[in-house]
Amino acid sequence: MKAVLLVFTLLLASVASAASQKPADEFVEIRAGAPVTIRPDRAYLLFRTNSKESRVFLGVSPVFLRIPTAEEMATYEAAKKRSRDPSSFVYDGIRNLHSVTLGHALEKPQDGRVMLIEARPGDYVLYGWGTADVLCTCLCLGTVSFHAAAGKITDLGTLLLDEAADPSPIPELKSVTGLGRSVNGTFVLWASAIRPADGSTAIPPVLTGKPIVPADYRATGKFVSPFAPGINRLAPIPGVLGYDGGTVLDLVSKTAAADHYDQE
Amino acid sequence: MRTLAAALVVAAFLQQAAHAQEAPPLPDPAAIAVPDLSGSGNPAVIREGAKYFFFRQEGVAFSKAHADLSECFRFLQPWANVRMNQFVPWVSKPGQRPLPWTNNHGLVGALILGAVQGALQHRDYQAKLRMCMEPRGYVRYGVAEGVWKRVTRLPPEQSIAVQAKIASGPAFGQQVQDK
Repeated sequence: MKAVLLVFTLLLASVASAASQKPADEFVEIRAGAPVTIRPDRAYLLFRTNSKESRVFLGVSPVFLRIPTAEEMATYEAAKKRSRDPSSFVYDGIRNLHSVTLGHALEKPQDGRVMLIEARPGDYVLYGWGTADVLCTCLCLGTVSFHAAAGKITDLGTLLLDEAADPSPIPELKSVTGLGRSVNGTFVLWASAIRPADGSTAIPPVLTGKPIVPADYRATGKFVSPFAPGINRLAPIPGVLGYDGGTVLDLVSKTAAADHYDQE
Repeated sequence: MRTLAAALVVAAFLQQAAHAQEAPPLPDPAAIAVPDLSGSGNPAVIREGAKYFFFRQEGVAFSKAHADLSECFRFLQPWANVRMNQFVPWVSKPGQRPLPWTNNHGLVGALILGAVQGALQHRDYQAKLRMCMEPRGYVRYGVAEGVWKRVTRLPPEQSIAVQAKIASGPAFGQQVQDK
């Protein structure tokens, strides 16, 4: 069943990606061998993925949402007002939801991937995990956000992934895996965690001397995604993200993180 | 393979899991009829517990169970298209892109697609509720398939009310063991 679900996921990804459109400069993976020039008007996201035993190498990758600016929201609202059916309005004029193409890595060591992405400066949410334009697991039940400043490389640390159904050997995922096969719905349900960057985190040699800052992670409350076959929450991060039952805790402010349910 | 992909895409399109957008008002638990759960200890029911179950938590208040289920039902909304939107407004509800599809597989194809759709809908419903309810301390208890279907096919507000009364009510059957 595991293999079948994974094949279905990849198959659907190929169907979906064929129809996708990606603005050329919104979210650009910088590949190995390409020159790395830090532009003052762009932000850069640096992260590592975990080992291939968690199947990341097959293309299940993080999905990031950039929180729209006020100007973008005004543009969106204006277009929505002009639409025939505002309740089902889908806007393609701006892209702020991005899945990463792990094949376009800065480094491809045997046990994972190192990604460097040039993006628009702003506030980002780790929205879930998917493949191409298919969201497999939404982090709808709790996740983190961070700011990506212009002219800087924001180091997200290591993004860890494994199946939620089976026990994971990855320390950060032990408490959120081994849940049994029935957590898999249409697709495999993924469990994920973040190991924030610290002094021991390896920096790619090509980035030596560049302005690198660790991500200022903050807890983000629950939200509903209309294209999520599976739902989960990011594993707790000491000092950043915690849970009390179903409540997401912001351990920086020591308060409950606000949920982002529909406001319409 | 193409047919299988189409089946899954269509299953997603057809998915009609009951869901609630807003938390329904708290009903009077005395007015809620709970189905007979006395058959839940039957070995056949216990064997199928991972497929058909309701949640329960010792000592939880009806109002708390109702609030938890109401929130978790938000996540049961059907997903119409496997393809993500390019733009998500974040502070308001994103729309869903309709899936253009025509049935080129005739009656047999439609029947197969219907069966696949039902199975996937069931799996997604149970998996989502597990991920939302279990961190809140709820535990699964197996119930007979017929009972499960009767309750889950009720309108969302009624289904939430019945499941909340079961969750806060007396023990029945056995906990689901599928780890």
